[in-house]
Amino acid sequence: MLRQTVKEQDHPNVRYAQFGGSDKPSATIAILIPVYKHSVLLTEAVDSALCQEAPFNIAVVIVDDGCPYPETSQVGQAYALANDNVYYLRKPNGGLSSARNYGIDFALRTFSDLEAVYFLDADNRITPTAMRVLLDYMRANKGIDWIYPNIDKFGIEWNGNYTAQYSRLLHVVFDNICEAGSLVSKNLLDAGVRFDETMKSGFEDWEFWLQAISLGFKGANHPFFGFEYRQRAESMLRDSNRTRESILGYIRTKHKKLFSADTLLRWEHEETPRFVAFGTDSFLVDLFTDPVVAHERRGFEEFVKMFWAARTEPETFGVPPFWLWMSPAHRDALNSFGLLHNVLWLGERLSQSHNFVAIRFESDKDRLGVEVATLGEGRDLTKRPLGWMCSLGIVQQCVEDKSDDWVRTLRKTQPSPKIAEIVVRGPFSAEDIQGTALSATNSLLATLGALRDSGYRNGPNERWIWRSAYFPDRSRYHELLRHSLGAAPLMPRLANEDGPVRVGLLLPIATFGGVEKVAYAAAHVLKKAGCEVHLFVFGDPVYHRIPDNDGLFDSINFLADDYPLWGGPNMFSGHDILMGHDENAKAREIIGFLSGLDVVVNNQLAPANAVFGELRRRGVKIVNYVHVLDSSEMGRAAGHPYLALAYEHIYDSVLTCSRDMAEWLHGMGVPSAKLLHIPNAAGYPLSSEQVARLTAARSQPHEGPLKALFLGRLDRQKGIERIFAAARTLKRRGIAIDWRIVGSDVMDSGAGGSWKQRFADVGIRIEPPVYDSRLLSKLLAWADVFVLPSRWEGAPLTIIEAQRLGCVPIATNVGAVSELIDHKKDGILLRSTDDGVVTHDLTLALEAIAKSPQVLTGLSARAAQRASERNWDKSLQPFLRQLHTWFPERFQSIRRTKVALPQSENSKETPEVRKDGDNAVWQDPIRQSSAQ
Amino acid sequence: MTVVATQEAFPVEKPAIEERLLKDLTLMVVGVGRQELPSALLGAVQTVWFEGVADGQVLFSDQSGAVFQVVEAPTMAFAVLAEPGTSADVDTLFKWLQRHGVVQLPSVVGWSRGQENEAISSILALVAEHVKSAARRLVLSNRELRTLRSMNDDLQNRFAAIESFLNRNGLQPLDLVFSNEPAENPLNANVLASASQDGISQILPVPSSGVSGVSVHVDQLGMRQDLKLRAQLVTLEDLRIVDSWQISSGDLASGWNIFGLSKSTAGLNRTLEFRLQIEEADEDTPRLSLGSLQPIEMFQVRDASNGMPVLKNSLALQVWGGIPGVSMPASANYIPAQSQQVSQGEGFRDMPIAPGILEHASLANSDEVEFDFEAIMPLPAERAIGCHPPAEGMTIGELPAACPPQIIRMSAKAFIDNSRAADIDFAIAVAGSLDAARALFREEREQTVGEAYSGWNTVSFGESAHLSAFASEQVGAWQNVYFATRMSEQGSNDFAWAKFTNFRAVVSG
Repeated sequence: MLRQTVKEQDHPNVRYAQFGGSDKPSATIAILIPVYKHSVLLTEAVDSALCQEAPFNIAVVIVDDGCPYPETSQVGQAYALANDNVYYLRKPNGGLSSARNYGIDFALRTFSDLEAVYFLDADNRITPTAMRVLLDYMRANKGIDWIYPNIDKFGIEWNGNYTAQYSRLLHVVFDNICEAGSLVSKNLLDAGVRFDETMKSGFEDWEFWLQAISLGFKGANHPFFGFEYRQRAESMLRDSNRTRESILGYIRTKHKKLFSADTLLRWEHEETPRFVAFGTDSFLVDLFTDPVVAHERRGFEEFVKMFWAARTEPETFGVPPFWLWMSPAHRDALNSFGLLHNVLWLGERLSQSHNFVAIRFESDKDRLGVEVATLGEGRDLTKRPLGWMCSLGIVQQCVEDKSDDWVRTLRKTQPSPKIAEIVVRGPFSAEDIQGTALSATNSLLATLGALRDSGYRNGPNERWIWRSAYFPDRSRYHELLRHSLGAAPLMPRLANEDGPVRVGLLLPIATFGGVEKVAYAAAHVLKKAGCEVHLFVFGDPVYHRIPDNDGLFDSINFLADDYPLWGGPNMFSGHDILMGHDENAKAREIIGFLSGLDVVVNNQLAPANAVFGELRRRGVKIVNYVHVLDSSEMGRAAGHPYLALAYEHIYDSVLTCSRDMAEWLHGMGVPSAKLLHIPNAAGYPLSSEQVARLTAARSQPHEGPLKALFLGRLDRQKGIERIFAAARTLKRRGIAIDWRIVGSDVMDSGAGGSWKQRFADVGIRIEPPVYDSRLLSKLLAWADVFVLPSRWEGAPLTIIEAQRLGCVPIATNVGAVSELIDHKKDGILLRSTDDGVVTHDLTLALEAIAKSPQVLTGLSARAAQRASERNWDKSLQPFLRQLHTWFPERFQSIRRTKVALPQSENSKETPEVRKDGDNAVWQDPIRQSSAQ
Repeated sequence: MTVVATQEAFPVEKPAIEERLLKDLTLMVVGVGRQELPSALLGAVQTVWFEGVADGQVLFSDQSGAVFQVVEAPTMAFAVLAEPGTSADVDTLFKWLQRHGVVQLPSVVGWSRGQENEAISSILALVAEHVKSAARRLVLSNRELRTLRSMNDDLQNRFAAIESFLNRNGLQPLDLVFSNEPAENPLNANVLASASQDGISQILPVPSSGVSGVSVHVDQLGMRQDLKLRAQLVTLEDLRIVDSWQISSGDLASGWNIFGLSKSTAGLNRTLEFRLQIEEADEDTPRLSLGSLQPIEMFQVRDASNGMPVLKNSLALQVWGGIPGVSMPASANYIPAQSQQVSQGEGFRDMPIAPGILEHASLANSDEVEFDFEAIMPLPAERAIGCHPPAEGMTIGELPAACPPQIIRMSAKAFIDNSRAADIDFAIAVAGSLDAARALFREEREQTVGEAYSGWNTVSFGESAHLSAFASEQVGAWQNVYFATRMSEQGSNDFAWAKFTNFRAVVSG
């Protein structure tokens, strides 16, 4: 570098050149100015950079992105020659991203003392104090790695207010709220964040910030930044807005995780919590989206200030959009039964159609459930609510209201506001239900009173921030979230990042049916394998409590809405089905209800199929559990297997309880790779000691009449009239059979009235249904044979449960029953033809066994032996392996080795190993078999 | 037909060597032999050898040794290449150059045997310096251009603002644009006394453009009258002081006190912060009123030293606005800014015509129209003038010497005060004489320097017209204001109660 010419004493007028320089380039901030075709305006940008008043070095790096105008080069060169701290770099044209990256790389390698970089477009300007103020701010706020401005436009003048606290949620789902003209820390650039050079149509700055967010960096607005944005009638940004959707598609794909429900919900929780909860015993308020995750708490005074700030400047300040008055003890009680999130979700939903939502508990040791009703339709608020919910809009109306007469009627049995009541039933203790000294109603009224009487209310009723609003109201970010995820309302449950795999089991109802039993059994195995297991009930919002399941579910969720469990306006193979766009599919509601899951297991819930495609697009694994091919009144094969065919493409896996079902599905077009055979096992657990104790009597010689048992609904499917006919015939023949018919009586017009009465006519008393597993075991231990002459079945659990206790099953050979019974070895298979044959075969079988105790003993022993080989842990291994394949990092609890099974005829059910690339994928041999 | 120009037809003469020295970069050699200089160097620039000065003219020789006389000094003397020991000749050359008006003498580069590289290096260094110098000049030019562009933008915006104001009816030059009224304050805190020595600051809730004053409300005057108060209005995006005030506590009045800007702020919108500092702050200092509780921290009254809120309230304050770039009206009672005197002569002023002047209104064209009542009637109570039109022709009224010098626009409001009147035409003009005005009203000619004319505006009862007469060019003299009415349809002038009111003048400076 030429330093100076120097004068020598001997030759006073003669100057000699001196070469070389030792000063290292120094810059605390590098202002990067990419330029392309802004030859003249460039001077304004450069001059505004050179005018900076700062006590540190600032370098100005002009990056000429191959501008074809010679003037650009002349201006750039001139500034570089005239100012030691101006650098003029040239590169072939590569677009704005490439020019900025070029400047970044130059700055990083050139200035060893660099702390930050500022991106100044060639047609924009900054005020002389900007860099000093911003660097001071960045240094004073550790953890802030970029500082972005309000938008002050000149040319076409406009001033936009961007001073709201930085929100990643807003930045991802709303718009690029951070102008590229931001100060960026060296740390952020050192982490490798760069502009995407493939993005040449705009929004490259948005994508730049998303990279930064992905790496955990955070930004902040400086309200007095000093940035001036030149707005002319046309600009690159305007062009970008024309192609916004396609660019957004690219960004969404590149940053899938940022746009996921899990991420967005977490940010909502951290930045703009959806709920505020007022305890009745504290002056602190809780602000959360997920109530069980650590969250912000504020003093009431502070919250009142927040409220009024949000009223004055709604796009800058906000309060949660849904308000809850409930004591922490009551919230804990709901949480202990896994109902808290569901109640909040219901409350949010109902708050949109009602002024207030009252929440009340009722104790019920046998059931968990919710009952939702609108007051005023012959229903009063007769019992004191333990909680209230409402939307922010109602709060605002009440606070603005000159009188509080309207809201004060909440104390009455017939309040003036429109009220929905949620009655939560469960095994609440007396303490759980006990009210608090300050009732929820009083707490609500006190809150409103405090807001109304606040001194913050009396300011001038106009905005103080003079810049125009651009952001949406900060209290309405939940709507952005809903819009982004196509879901409303969203279940307020946060995912534990990299935590257990979250499996949702979907049921139409939660009573004691076989489908529920299988789902619960699967839940036990999944839970033991380390999954979070959530139960979703779409029909009657009641879960019939089974003590064995206590603590099994991480949450229980009731849709509690008018949701048809079957049908739809579209037809598939004789089945009415719903599609996602159908109104009754309630797509937004269902997607919101199911949000926060990794895996959905559909257990014969027909309408939900309509929305699974959307869930799957968001990365949720969709599993269908198919049990039985039903039969229509006229004998047409029908039911969920056909729905599986209709929606086959949206399922990642289809679980079947039988080989028969798997073969049928494969034959009908389901790829074998999707089919997992999960052999059924007993519907409830029994230890070997319990089995031994219950079956001890069977080792004694058989005495007395044959004891026959039927368990189940007294309906056509189960062939109850066949049992009746056989019992009557045997009685006429004088064969002594001790019958116990246990089940719920179904009024069957075809049967000519009540079965209770008809069986009574032949001296058989019908006993009420039994759901308690201990009583069930007692019955099965008592019986010698279990009869099930059904017209159709899948693979009934009761057969396996009977076999486990040495009770010999006599069942029609329908569905997959033959996979459970080896005829005359561990049970009796009845020919499934017409009713007469079935009744004849049943009568003969019962007569034969009644007359031959030895036969019974042998059948009993082998039945017990066979059932002992079945268990859910083993059966569900293929599914667990599938989960491991899907979530290799998060799901580790699988057997690495082949499951050891006894070398019996059952070995045909032993899974085989198929090599699929590097992964050993377990596959059931059934999937290799040819289609029926 | 194609015409081919040939050298024979148009012989080109080589320019004389002296002319070349006026156009080319020139290297002057003193005492160095021709053979010692590389031919490549000689080819690079115009090179001449200094041979001496004779009769006030310098003698140079060229590369071939031919000597020639030069009268004018070379325009772009790049350097002098001199053999060490020839400083006397160099001085002679320099003296000659100085005598011929050369201020910036060329640099001397020593050339001696064995030191050629150093000499070439020095020449290169000179070249580099020339390039850099040119770059600096280019940058300077760019900067000047940018300044001009910026000034042009500013002027454009100001003009647009003025135009929009002038085209709007009835905009006052001093509007209350925001008011945060004093609130009952149980604490009764003395916020000035609570703050540090740097005083208090309050961010204003309005954009900067058009702000002409900030009022603070004094709840209670202090005991002492001699305390010095300093106030500043600062733009936060560039920390520029827009205006400042320095007063004594005795200058404050109880109630609202307007701190008026020398002229309303113009240019890009920025955030304004009002800062107020008092010496020897104690409980004797004036007690400022506070607004109600302010939920937004940024707008709470803050300590100017650290930006932290002093209280949870904002100051009770008012913000006044006007036309960007225009001074406050003389009638406004405000505390003038320190910069006011400096800024005299810039901007625009909007001045109402004083009511007293309106009382001098009289009929000007009594030679044309005659009434049996006073056709021109000053109405002091209404601050208006009645001007009854004749059934045919026009009535011209005169306000003698009512128009100040440097007028840009004269304006007035026109309306009819009787529901039974037919439509009436109204016009105003600024002119030096009745005849000049009459010619304008008759639209016989265009307005000339210093004159202004609004054109005729038809008004029905229940409506009003804003008459604006723009001067084509400003003059530095007082002139008359003429106003005229006529029936829109010649005929009955019964009940034609035509009135002018709100005469205003916008003047430059």
